[in-house]
Amino acid sequence: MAVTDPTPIRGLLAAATATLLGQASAEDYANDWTVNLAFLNYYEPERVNVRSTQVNTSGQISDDARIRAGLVLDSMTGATPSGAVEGANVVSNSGTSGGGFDVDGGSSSTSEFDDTRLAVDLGWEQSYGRMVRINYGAYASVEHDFVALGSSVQGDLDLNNRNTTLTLGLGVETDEAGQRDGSTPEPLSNVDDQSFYGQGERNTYDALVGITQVIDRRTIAQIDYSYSLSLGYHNDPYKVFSRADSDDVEAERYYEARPDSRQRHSLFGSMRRQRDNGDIVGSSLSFYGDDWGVFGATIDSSYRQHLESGRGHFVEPYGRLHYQTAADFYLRSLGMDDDLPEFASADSRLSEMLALTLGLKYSQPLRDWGVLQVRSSYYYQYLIDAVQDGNQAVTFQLGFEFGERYR
Amino acid sequence: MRRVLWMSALLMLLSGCTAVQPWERGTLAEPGMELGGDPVDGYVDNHIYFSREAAVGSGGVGGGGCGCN
Repeated sequence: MAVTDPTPIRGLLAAATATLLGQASAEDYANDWTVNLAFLNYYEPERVNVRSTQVNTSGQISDDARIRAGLVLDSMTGATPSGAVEGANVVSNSGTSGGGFDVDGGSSSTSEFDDTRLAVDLGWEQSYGRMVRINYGAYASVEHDFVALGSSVQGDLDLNNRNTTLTLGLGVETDEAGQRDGSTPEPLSNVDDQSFYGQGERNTYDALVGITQVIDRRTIAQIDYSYSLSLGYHNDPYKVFSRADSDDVEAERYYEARPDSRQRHSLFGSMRRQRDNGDIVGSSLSFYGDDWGVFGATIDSSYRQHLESGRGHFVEPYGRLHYQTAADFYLRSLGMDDDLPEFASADSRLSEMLALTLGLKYSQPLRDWGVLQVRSSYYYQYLIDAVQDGNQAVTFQLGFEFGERYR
Repeated sequence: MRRVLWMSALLMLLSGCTAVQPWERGTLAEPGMELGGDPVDGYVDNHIYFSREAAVGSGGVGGGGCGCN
């Protein structure tokens, strides 16, 4: 395919001919590469601000192999809830998840933090014959107080004249977590005691089986079941909970304690249909359950309205509704006469909650160059029996994708 | 035996609901019809929900973990 060919139809015909004749050249593969740049601002008023820059690229390197690579750089600042009540007696103040340590930060129930995350993701998709594809993946994510290394392999088998695809995936991840100095507090210890251990380690094993089915010429659907087992350190080393009276006056403050294993199950169904006018309706429904007693249900939907046919000019409103129950060991605070339980966490992410997302995406093709996409959303969490009643966030995302295929 | 019957019934159901030939897949192959949606959007959203909720849905293996949960 001529790189500088100004007539798209000639390029498409040449590519189609080359594919039919099985004569794709190295130049064709080079033309297949795309690069995607994205900038994200995630903002929780008076709490967290995350600025993220992402670069992703992918392309065909041979008749039967495709590779991809991604890089993410996150810059995180702000304050998040520590788990302590809003009472006036500040015993001490820890840092927060994913961040540094600042005893002067925030109110009694929040902690300031400041951290950077660098993540790298590599993938290789290899076809074996016409019906089997295997995706090999590896990733690493590094923060000041957290390191994750993982790999995955996922196989797809096409059946039924390629109308049905069976998927089997396996993944493993190993994490190291601690406070900024690499230490982890003794679970259930009084914060005043300052009793610490070394870094916490955790291994996670994932498995997934799925089926994707072409329903008709305009509709495709998918159902996945996934299972995850994680073993090791599950605490958030910055999270605490309070012993407090009925007026929320804090008497003591303890570091949280979670079980050292977690089994998660989730069932995920998704469908996409193109209407007669070309608009695309997408929806998904998922159910989640784990042995910490958390049950969740999530519904997600989007509607892509094309502003002109083809070429990626569209607006797409989308929404999501999520509900989850609280973990068995979740507590808002401990009563003055209560014994310390075996496990306890006041992390609001483990509380019962209802969360709503409303968003809009706009995609504008850039002539002979690529596509520009703008995406913004509002997220609200209604937290039940938590120190803070709710949490809200606004996201703004700007993305560019370019490559020879847009020429 | 029951398992074989179930599998046979499932395959019959799947082959019965589709008569879409390779040359009829133009619509299904269009951008926007990928079931996972835009990969960058999916990555961003999953990361946000993973860091703010405990019951995270599925759709793949391997997390790209962070210390945010």
